[in-house]
Amino acid sequence: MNNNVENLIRNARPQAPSPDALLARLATRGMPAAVGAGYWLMRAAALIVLAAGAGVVAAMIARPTVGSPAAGTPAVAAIEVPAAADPLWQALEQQRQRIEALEADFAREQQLRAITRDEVRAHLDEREAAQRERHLDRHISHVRRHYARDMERKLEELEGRDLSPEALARAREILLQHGESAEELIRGSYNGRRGGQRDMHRMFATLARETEDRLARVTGDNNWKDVLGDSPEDWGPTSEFEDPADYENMLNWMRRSSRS
Amino acid sequence: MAGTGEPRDDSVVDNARNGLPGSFEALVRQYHAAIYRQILLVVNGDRAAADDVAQETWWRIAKGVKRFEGRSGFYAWACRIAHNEGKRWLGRNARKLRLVPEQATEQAPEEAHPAEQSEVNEQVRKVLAMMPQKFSAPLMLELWEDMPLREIAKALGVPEGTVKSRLFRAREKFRELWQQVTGEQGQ
Repeated sequence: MNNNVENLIRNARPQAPSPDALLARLATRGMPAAVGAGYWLMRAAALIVLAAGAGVVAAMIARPTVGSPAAGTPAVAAIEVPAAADPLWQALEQQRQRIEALEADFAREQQLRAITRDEVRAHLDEREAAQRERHLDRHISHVRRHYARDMERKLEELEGRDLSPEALARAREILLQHGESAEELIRGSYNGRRGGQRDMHRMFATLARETEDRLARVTGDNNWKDVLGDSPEDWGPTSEFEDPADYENMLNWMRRSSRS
Repeated sequence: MAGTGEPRDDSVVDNARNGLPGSFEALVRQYHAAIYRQILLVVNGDRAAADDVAQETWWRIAKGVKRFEGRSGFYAWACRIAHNEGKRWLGRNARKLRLVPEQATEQAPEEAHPAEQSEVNEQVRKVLAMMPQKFSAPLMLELWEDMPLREIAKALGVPEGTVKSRLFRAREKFRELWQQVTGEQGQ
């Protein structure tokens, strides 16, 4: 029977296209540009001009004057070179001033950016907090609805067994506590408590195993393994996306639960 | 994971996370086929849609891979993104699909692989699409990507024991749904 299932599934394997076209399309979408690259490019260009100018001056100083009786002697070079190099020194001075002006502009721009950045950050923090609250509300109400249905199903199954009313009541209590604890873990993740998201996977798994053990003891039934949701995916917000906020909520939860 | 039986490089995800040159392309080449097949299930076999969704999925992966820290397994993480992008695509195109259903069905046979033309295969894929991802993902990795248990566990970020139990339950779930869809018993 297993072979039948496996063959059925194997035969239904669809072909996947080569990734080349996908890579080409991703490449056309590009990546974000580096911040401040323009400034550094301009600065590098100006430095190259400066270096080139300095090279020319050095070459002129080192070159002997052709046709002069005392060509190549230090005394003649000391008289002739300053006159020839004057325009170059002026050009270099201009370049130096331009670099200083650029640096001053850049410093001013950085100051302005810092002010704007603080304002923007404050605004974003405020918006993020409000959004977090909205996501949490949606998430919790979905989990409560979903878990309540799930819990009632489990209790109905238990009612079909030969359990005392006390054991049934105890099982209901344990399942209710389980839902509350899971809700607390979700809240903790949104509010950055419990060491952030680092231990979410472990905490959900531990909670499920502990509750399963408790249920096994109360009901005297050892078939409670892997019955309860034990990962952040099992306790996520709705994946039935009725509006963009649902999808955003899911993405947000994925980000929270995949960050360790 | 580029195809069945090909060797897989475990370091490719780490390299992409660390932004090494050429690492993202290597990541795409290794995982594209497996993720594409998941997407096909979500978008009901529509290959044009699967191309769009794959592009969006990999774009999101490109933007998020540096923040992915490997707790849930790269493939599981990528599949969740693919699943959501697929659902989002279906939501956006629901009206269009309702208006021109015959166009969608007419285009499919031209582009489809011969294996996909079989009605049984379509039903198998439909059943796989109905299964919770936590069961369908390991099953597809095992039977479509020929991955050994150890690699499935790594790709999904769960222990090997969990993979075994999920594979067992996945087969049961498949049989149950198969019976509902086809009315056949014992397949």
